[in-house]
Amino acid sequence: MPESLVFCTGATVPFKLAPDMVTLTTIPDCANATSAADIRFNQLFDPISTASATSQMAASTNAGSDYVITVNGATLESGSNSISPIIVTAPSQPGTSQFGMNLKANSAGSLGVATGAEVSPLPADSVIGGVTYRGQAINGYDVVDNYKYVSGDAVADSKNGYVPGPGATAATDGQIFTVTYMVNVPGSQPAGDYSTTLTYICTPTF
Amino acid sequence: MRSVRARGVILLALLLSTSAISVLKAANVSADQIQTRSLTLLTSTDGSTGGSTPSGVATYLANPNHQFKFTLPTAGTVGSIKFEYCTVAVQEACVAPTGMNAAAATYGSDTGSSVTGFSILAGATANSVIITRTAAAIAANSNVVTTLNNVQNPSVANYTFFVRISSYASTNATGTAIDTGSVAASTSNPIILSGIMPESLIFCTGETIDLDPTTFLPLCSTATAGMIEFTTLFSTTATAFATSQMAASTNAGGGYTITVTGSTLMNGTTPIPNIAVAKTPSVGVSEFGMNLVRNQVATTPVGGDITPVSDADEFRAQALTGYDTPDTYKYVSGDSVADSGNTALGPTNSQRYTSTYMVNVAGNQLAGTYSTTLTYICTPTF
Repeated sequence: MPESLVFCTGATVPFKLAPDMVTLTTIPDCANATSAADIRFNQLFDPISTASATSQMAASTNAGSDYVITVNGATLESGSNSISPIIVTAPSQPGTSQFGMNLKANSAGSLGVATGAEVSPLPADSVIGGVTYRGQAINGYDVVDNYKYVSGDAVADSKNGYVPGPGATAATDGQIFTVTYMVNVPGSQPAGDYSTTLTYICTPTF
Repeated sequence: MRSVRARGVILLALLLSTSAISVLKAANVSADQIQTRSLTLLTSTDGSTGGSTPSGVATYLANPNHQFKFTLPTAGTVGSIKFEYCTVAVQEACVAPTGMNAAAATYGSDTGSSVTGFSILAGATANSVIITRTAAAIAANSNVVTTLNNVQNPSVANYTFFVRISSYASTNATGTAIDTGSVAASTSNPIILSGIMPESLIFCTGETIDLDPTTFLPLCSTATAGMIEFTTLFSTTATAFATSQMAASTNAGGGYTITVTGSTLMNGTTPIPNIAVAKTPSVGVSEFGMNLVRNQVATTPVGGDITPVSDADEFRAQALTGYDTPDTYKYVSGDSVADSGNTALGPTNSQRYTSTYMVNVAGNQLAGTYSTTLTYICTPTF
């Protein structure tokens, strides 16, 4: 068995279909990840409600030390105008300038509509079928209804349940993360098309 | 006879090549596994270029730097390290990942490395880079941190590729590899997020408008509707007051202006005269006026300051002349009473105004219920 890494990002990453072509398995299907070239927020930005959007990514590796996923890129910008990234994890506050994200299942109270999902399958599901799921959100991106965005931050790793020691491993089977992005704007936010390109980098350590 | 000799030559060649392969395999088997090894696809400082973006997309603006971290387990002389980019990790022949090109790679940083002094050996190919240095001894389990700059990623998104790492005593990656190991990395779809901020105006009026307890911004959703009554009966010996509130924000480049329209207080055809020129209240004189500031009436303040306070930047709300002086009142229908011109007209975040209405009456003011309907109009200029 050689070194292995499967990592993909997209607007959506589905689970593979079972041989009956109907039932979904719990194995991410990176081959059918959809393009993420134009992910749009669910509403126009406005000062009294929160706009949200999602993307997904999946990762598995047999690297013993773990994988770490970082997010990279500028905040949302329109020419010289920008929306302030949330440097310290915080809840949504309509009327203020905020761009943030997390990797959790968020409530309707936070964004107007329930948005996002927990990593799937959950680590607790690793008791089924001899698989191991260690993927987890980390570093301030792991709090429901709270958001953060700092370019270069590690947002996920495969150390859920990992205890360092002889024979310990952070290898993990494939899981899908759902990333929720949120935007709030003040009433004075200049009109325009705001965009950014984010890059997720998965680094396994063998 | 010639055929037999030929077969013999072929057989000998096969035996020799088999022996050679065996030697190579033995050499590979004897190499120790490089430990704690990883490859990170670095981005530019601001994260906007490089990284895991595949080279085949429009958003690929610059080649990333590839940072390798690993531990060489074997003590001994090291003069070069070879990085070979392949579609598979080990054993099979190395095939270059689709679209990748390391031929123009340059040597980057070795900060944090205990094995230093490397530079790129001339002759890098699309998928093979050798770094070289003056051969020197290293201790067992020496950590290496080395970055190859300007390596063009594979062109396919969500595509795993491998780098076979081998250390050599020679300075040109010839001879037997000392330590070997593979790392993996993957390109990924760039996530392009976009949203639209349209022209915006949020304006509301009511008897009261609450402030958000966290942001202290007005919440138009809490604006109360209905009749606003003066706090006391009209009297010739004391002034009656009432208040309402309004909030406004806009991203209009020219800001907003708020006007007030409506008649003065009326009871049938009997008015309470409006104050045409701003003045302080005169008890015992019929007059109706208003302002948008916090007033000091004896020890009981009436009205309120604009909240949050204007800062000539994010918050620009201000009351206008005639309506901007504490304890001074005016009312002329159609007047502009406020705008977002604190320092200069421009876009502003949401702020709450409190309008204070003031009535005094003369002794001959007819008894009755006096009322008016006032309308505030907020006009942004985009």
